[in-house]
Amino acid sequence: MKTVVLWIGFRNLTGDPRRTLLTVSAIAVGLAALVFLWGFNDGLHRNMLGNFQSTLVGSLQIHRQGFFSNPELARHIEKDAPILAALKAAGVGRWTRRLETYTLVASDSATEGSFLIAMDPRTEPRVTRLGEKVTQGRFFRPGDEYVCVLGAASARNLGVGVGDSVVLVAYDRFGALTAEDFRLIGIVSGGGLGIDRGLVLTPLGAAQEMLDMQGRITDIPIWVPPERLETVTGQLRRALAGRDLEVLRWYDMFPVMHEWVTLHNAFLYLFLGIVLLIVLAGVVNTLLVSMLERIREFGIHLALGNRRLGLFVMVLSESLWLGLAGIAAGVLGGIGLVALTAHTGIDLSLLLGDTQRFYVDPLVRPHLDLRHLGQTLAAVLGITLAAGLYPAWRASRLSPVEALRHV
Amino acid sequence: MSEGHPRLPPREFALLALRNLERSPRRTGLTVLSMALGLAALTLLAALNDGWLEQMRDNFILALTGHVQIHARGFEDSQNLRDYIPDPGPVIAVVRHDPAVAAWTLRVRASGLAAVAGNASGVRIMGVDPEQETWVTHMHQMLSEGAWLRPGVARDLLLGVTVAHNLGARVGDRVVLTAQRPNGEMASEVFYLRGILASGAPQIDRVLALVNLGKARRWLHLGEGVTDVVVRALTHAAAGGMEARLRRTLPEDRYEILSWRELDPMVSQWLKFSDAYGLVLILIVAALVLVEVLNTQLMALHERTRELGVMLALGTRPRQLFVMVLLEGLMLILAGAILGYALGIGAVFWLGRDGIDLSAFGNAFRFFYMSPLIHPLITAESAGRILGTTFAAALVAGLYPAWWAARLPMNAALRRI
Amino acid sequence: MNRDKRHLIEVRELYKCYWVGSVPYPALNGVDLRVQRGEFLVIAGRSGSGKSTLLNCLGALERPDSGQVRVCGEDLGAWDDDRRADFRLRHLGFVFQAYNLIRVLSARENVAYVCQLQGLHRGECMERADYWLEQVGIGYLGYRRPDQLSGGQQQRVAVARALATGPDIVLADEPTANVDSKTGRDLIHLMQDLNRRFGTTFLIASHDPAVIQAAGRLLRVEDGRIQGGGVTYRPPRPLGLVCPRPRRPLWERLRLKWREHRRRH
Repeated sequence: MKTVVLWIGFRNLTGDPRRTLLTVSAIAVGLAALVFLWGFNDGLHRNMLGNFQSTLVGSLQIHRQGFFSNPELARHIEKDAPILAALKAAGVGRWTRRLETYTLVASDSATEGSFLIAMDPRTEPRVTRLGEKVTQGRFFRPGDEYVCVLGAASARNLGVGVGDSVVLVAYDRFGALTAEDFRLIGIVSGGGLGIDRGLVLTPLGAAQEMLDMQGRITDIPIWVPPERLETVTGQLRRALAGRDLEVLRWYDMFPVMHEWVTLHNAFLYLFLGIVLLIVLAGVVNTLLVSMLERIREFGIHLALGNRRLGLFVMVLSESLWLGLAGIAAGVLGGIGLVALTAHTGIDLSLLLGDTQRFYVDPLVRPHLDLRHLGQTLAAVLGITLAAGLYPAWRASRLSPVEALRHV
Repeated sequence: MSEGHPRLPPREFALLALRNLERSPRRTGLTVLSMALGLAALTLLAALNDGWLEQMRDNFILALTGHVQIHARGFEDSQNLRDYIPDPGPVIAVVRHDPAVAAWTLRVRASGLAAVAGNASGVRIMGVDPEQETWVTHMHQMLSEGAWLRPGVARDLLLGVTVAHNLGARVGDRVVLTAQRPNGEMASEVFYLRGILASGAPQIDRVLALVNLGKARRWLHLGEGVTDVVVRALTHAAAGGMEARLRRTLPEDRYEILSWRELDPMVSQWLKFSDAYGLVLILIVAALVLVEVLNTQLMALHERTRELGVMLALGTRPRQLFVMVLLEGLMLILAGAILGYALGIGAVFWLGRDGIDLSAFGNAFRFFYMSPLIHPLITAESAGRILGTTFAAALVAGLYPAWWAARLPMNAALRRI
Repeated sequence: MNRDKRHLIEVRELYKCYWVGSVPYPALNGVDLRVQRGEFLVIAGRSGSGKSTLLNCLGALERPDSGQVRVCGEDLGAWDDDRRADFRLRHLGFVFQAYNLIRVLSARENVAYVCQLQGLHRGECMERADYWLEQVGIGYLGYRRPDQLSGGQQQRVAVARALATGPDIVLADEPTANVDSKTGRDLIHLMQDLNRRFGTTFLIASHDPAVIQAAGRLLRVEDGRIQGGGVTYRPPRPLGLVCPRPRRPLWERLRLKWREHRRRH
């Protein structure tokens, strides 16, 4: 086989720019659509998980071993200095401190079993955006003492409004029942984010005093960007090993959202598998139609003394070039589309209304996960080569005389 | 061919177009096949999307809520036992005679506290009729340990898996439930844990405590009273009409009639969101199919440049060429569409029978009221969307190539080798 | 053996059939032929007489059903496709009725292509292409693409391409059929000239009187047999023996059936 066939293959592409353009665009449009679909999906998940984490949970939490599955005050963190040092070493700046326990919220007319989360008003905004969810009244300020914030549904059920008092009843560190008056200063509502009911928030200092937990906390929530989550978790686990602490990622604690993303991705894999089929049909068709029209040309090559392998390589090299050009154009187009829509956002409020639904903002900003981009690229390159194999094989099997007679 | 017949009758054009298609069966076949594949895939995708949404909705309805619940006015908001239905008789009488009702059951709901050996946790206590409940929901199929409530065994208790875990309760353990009676007085009762419910849904697993309806009524001093009448419709489509009839018949000042949408806005939101998400996906794919169809057409035409040049040379007018190419495109798309629908619907039925198994993706499905089998389903709405795509494809992939052919410079076309 | 060496082409008892649907058609019905080096041989005959098939068999493009074909002292009979391709590349040049230039390549690239296939360096091949284009009289058109050339010019490029590999034989199938008679005469004179100057053997199948007139030696083919002097007489074989029914795959048979059906209606 002579290398000249590669050169001829290349000339075949430059010599018929319209045909080349059509084939390349068949691949490029398909790939760009796939890339964009992934971008849309990934952006949505990122938005959803981001909203979920910034509502209450954070990306990571550090507790005393066993506290998460059995939140008793006995399992508290007494000295947080080594943890804070480890956080600093890991380059984490966004952390806060909390105290969490079960409580009973009582108003004049009703009671409700709730989870008490006491937070530091200064550092809390670094990790969550609870303050933005306040629909009535205000969120905590430094210096607040016996005040609390309730979910909208809880407040309604308890029949209380901003300015009213509620009594929180809880067991303190030593197991003694204790009760304190708290003034309701704000009401939060998350539109289905799970904070409307069964939750009562107070400043850290007041709760520590009430529960005899001076200087003690139960958890340290942390925010890190999703790309760094795994490395930071690893670093912290190594640094804090042997200290009887647990470092839990958000999905270790609340697997539902993670499972949901897995589920959605599973569905999308199925979906994109079928879309890939459409792209495959388009590419194969475009390649075949153009190749079948060139039978006579292949006959000339064979008659002039080109070996079958030479012709095979020539036609395959054309597909390869087309595939590479199509993939380059498709990736650029897809990424461009993702970047453009990420900049402007895709407004789904027509379909979803203006509020957040299921942690998703109505303005979706696509974002591309590089792993998904890689998988898609590999798949499209694979099908393009596969689509190129058949015409190449057909061309090389031709009888020169019959091919020359072909109109 | 058009010499002397400047106005070729349409029938002739159609025959000419048909002959062109027939003359190169391989190209025609390939083009039709790629269009068919695109449309078939689109049909299948739409069906998959509809199928999984519908499945999720049904599973959700059958998990806990039923299609419609009837409460005493104000109960949904207060969730307080004070707002109960003292005598469900008249409601039952109405429900029983509605033609769309498949089954109904009675429940008592109250918030309370569960305690096991020093551990306590807030729970949502639900008194259910062990027999009738199974006609309405699938809760009895969600047991991960132990067994379902026995009719007449007063102290049987089922707990959600997370509650049980938090309390450290095992099957057979003694559990004390505390709740408030309508008159405000607190009452405790001893139960024995008979089973553990693992539904994957947080509102069951994290908070639910299930007891016998009769026992709950006696314990909480409700007499014959209940908080919920839960109704399951024969089909999902019939649920809307049933709800409207119940609203008309039952006095509004005493009862509230709530559909599953209102009962769990989160799931309803979720479904709405998923629907929007699916629609965006389908639209993108539809655009993709459109472009691929157009591309195929253009490529086929490009390879026929010389032939078109010959036709022009023989005296065919550009406008006649336009009509001919347009007709060819329309015929191809028609054939592709028919074949595509047949393929797509065939695939939907074939896959719909056994479902598509996604269980490789782990237990994600259990969390969302899903089984890992997705059964594709075609709804009228998505059928309409696909039809719209086909029309758009016919328009774009028919008109543009025809326009291109009509503007072809004859000499250059003839010179093409 | 010794006598064979003198002949560049030696054909004995050549048979070749075509199938039109299920109807056999004997294109070569027992052909014997000897050609010496340097000849300018014209094979005349009406279209369908079998002259193209004969040329294809000599050109290692087609396999005869039976008979012996020796070209340049080599027996082509049992060779596989690649060996045939190499043989065409080394020893033969082709000029077709329909020019058959490669559309996307310029005239000199078309000529250089075969030379490059032989494994020669690109620059050297380009020089050679320019030389041969000069020889066929269109050196100034080297950078044009086939669709920018007239029919006669394209055929001159084809002749240059046929000669660029330094072949022993140039096989030309109806080289003048697609051009006007003046251009045709010019073309045939060009080939005569090249035959004289370079000693290349030319085998031309044609029914063009101008070509026949220019023949160094003329053979007539009729019904798949060579007519006229110096040919040993062979009694015609029965059709069934000449054209054994080929084994075809089922789908191929169905396709042929369908074509036949279409043709009838």
